[in-house]
Amino acid sequence: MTASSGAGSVGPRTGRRHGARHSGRGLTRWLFLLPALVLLAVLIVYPIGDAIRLAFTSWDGFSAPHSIGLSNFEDLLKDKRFKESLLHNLAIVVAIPIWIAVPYAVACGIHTKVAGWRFFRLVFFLPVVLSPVVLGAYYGIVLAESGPLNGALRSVGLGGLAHEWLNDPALTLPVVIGIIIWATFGVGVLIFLAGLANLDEEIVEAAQVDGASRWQIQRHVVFWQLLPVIEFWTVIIVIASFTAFFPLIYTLTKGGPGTATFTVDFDLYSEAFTSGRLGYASAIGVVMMFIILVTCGGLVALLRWRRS
Amino acid sequence: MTKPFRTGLGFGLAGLLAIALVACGGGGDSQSGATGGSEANVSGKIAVWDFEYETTPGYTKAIKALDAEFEKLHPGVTIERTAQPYENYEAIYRAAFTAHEGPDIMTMSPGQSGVLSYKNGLEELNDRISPEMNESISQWESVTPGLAAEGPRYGVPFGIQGWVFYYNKQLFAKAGLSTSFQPKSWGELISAGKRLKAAGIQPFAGGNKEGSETWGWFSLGFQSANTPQQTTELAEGKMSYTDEAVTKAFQPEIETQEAGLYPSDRFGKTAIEGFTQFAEGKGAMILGFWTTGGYWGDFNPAIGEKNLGIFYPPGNAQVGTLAGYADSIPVFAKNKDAAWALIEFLSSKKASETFFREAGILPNRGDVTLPKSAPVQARELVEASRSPERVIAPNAALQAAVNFGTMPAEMNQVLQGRTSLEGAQEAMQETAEKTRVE
Amino acid sequence: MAAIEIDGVQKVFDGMERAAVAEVSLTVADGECLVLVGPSGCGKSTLLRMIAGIERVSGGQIRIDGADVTDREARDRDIAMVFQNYALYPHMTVEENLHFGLKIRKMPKAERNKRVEAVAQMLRLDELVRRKPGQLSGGQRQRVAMGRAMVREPKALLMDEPLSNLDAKLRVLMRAELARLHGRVGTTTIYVTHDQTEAMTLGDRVAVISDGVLQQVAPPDELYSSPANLFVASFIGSPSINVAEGVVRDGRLVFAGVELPIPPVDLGGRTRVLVGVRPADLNPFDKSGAGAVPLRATVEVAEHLGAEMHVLFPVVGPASHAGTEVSGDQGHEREGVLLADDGSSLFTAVLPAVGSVGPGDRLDLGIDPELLMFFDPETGGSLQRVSSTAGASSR
Repeated sequence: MTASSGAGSVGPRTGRRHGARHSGRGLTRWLFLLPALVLLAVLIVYPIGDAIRLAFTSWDGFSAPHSIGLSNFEDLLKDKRFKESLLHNLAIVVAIPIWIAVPYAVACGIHTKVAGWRFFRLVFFLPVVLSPVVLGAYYGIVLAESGPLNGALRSVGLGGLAHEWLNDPALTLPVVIGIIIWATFGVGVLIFLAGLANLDEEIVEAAQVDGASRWQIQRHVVFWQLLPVIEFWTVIIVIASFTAFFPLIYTLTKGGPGTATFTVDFDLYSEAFTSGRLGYASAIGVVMMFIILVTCGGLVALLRWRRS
Repeated sequence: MTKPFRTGLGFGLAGLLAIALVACGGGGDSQSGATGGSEANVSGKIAVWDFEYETTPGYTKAIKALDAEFEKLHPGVTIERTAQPYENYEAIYRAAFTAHEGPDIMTMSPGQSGVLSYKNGLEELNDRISPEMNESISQWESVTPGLAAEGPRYGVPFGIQGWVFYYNKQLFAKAGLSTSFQPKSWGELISAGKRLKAAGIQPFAGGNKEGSETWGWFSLGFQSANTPQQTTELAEGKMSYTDEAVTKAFQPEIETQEAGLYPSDRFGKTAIEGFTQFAEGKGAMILGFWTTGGYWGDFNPAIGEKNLGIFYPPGNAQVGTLAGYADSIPVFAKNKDAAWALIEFLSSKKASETFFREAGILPNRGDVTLPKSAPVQARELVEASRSPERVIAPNAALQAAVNFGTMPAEMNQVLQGRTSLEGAQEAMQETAEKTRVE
Repeated sequence: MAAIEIDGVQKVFDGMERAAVAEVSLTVADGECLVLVGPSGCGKSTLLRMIAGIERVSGGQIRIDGADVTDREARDRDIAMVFQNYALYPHMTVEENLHFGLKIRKMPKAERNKRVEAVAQMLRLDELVRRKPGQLSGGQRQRVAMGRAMVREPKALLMDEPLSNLDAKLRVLMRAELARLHGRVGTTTIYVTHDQTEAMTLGDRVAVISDGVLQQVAPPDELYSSPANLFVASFIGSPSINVAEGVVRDGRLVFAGVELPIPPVDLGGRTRVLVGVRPADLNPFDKSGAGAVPLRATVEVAEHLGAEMHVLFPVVGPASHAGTEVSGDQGHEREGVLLADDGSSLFTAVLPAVGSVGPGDRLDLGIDPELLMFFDPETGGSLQRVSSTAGASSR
């Protein structure tokens, strides 16, 4: 091939040969990239493009989609359930400080190698490997009105605290968010542990010598060094809040009571597969993608700006 | 309509993957229609997607035997039956239709929220249906637009399904109530419930976490207060969900709930948990099904055949039924003739008998008589289904998005006094308008 | 400011058999600058970290200003430290870095500002105060690290190879800067380095450590002229000392192919000893002292360094390996012992740069018996001069 003859030549290089060699290498580069690019195009670029196209159509999945301009988006603006779902996603995002603090604290605890830290690391990661369906079913039982949690509360005389955890519109969303945090924080712990393992120990020592207490070291030194990790984790959570918690919410509450735990991905699913409004569902998908891009982009920009 | 109750455990990622599949789909061509003649070309592979298969043990046993028999009758035919869990089938089916690729036969839920919502992707089967078949099989309304008796058929109905009240005669006797109970009005039902309650007996067992009991109450309430003509109007979109007829349909459940006849944790429990309560004798009444799940087959072994009574809703029409499920041929099927031959075979008298024997599926063929050994409730229900008074169960009129989405979600809140019935009806109407299949 | 007393301090790391630091005892006087020097991994940094309180001691006691601080946290010792990689807080500006230690100790803002300003001025950091460490050059970061330590006005200043990340030229500049600062501020300082030049130029006294064991503590000149053992002799001085075996025969010493009178050294009856001579003590014969004995050298390598040149030449007699296994840390000339092609020793002489000397040229050098050093071939220990008044100190 051009590439091998070009790269293999060791003779005197004239300008022309030099040029040929470069173009040869360029071509090879593209040839090597081709399979990946094709996959990328077929699996990512095309579907995204098609979803955007469909977002401007009315399509029931049977007949050909027909274009209806911005109608879907105009309807979205008026769609109560969509707006409510969006609000619920917002609530998940607002809970991000907890989402960060819990794994952060646990990771710091494990990092100090307390007795049995290996065991804890395993235990905390366990929920992550459980199927969301299993988690949903499990909490469905535990949190039932006459379930073990309320039973335990009543048996210790705290019956007043017993609630219909999954049937109280005011409580269910926080409960669901709590369960999701519980189910995912093991990943956060691993990420923060990796961050802590890469911590510049010398800086921590410098702070020790400078007179900082454990807490001050955490606050003034470790936290700042872990900031990129926090940033990464936050972006993951934001994306996941829109796309990844659907199975768990579905098994746990089916979006209920009423629509109290409907999220945007949930809404998308039900519009697409229960209502058969595929064009409208595509519009939800496009808006969701846009929101994720803007939120994460804004977040990264904000943190970059703070750091520089 | 037993299937919604199996939605207990969720979708997993299949649904999300299906979104991607849908997104990849697009317009396309459809293959040509029927060729007529039931034995035209019966060979090759028949692919079947079946949400009952591997889910209901009795059905699975019956269908395996029948498939084997069909293959024996038609050498050269192989049946490839794939279990599509009921929880996922909407998404998977929808993906198949948008991709114009899939099996030769699909099992479908009956009515507007099932087979009729996919009608634009299904073969119209009228040319293939023989007069003899048309005559001997019932529940055709479940597969015909507008729930009409005549018209294009988009599937072949199987079995008889519906809602009915079961009661525990022993508990009724304990409260001094008749053991051949049949209320003449909803008020009578409620006072019976209050009497049970006064006797320290839980009147109704039940669980409405998913809001699925509301389907039954709505259906029975609607048939009780309105006419079959009104059911058709609702199905065709000629009647609004804000109509008084719909308001009336919801009243019985609301009144029952308000009278405190249900357990306090009704909305924290699933329907299946409710059935279990009733089977354990922890409730005197339950809103149950005609067949396969939450029915006589479940309750008899627990509380005794003699002890299990049935009563119908009071009012206009007491018996409302629809098909248990339907078999349809999608337009993109590759082996339509063989597919039809299989459907025909499965709807035969002999097959119906096998389905009842193995799975308790009530036969929707007039020429099938249940054996003497069959439970008294099964015989009673089959007889009722053949009475001229029988109407199409009104829940067959509900569109999928109303049936699976808005109605259970909204009514759940109404019943708990969190929103108004009026608002709920408006929401249902809004959904119905948005998602009507033309 | 305060004196630091280290009393039998020991460190054994978990799972290690040998002590990283073996019962070291040292006293650093108030205001003194003591340099801990030794090859990589010799335990000098560990010793420093124990003094800082970052590393726990396995045994012994550390006293600062008379108070036993062995079990105190680093922050309760009132010492400051300059780290090898500077360890500046990357998210803080230079100014914030300087303020941090004072703020933590709840010093009033006015006082803090005064101190930071003074230090920034002293270290010429005024222009940089608003920058973050990532925007500074290596030398600037070094100065900030120094400033952060100094601004605290600690009882003692600990420095862990603070110049090792700088390039050679900057290192020389900063070395002078450090010497100037110490002269000005006069804080008790313990300075760790593997570079003997830094050790010799910065230390009031220098402690040589090898394999966790303290070899000798002495002022630089004494370390050079009266090393306690062959290790110290080899480690200190550049180019490294020439060592070969000497044989005592008929009251005279045969060494490097020449016969010399034996100077007044207590050989303890040994007939074989290791003899060392500093490269700088090998001079052209005609410029050597009266007692010098001529040595004919055939040049193998000549390194011209401008003002002086290093001449390498083979000498007769077996090479010595005892105690000279100095790692390559100290730089250029010598890794262990230089050997000629035929296996004999290679000696180095530092001569004034005269004319063009090249391989194969012959030079007449003089060895002054009075400048020879003698070591026990078994232990490497220095053999004392009988009449010496220098009083070679050993530990």
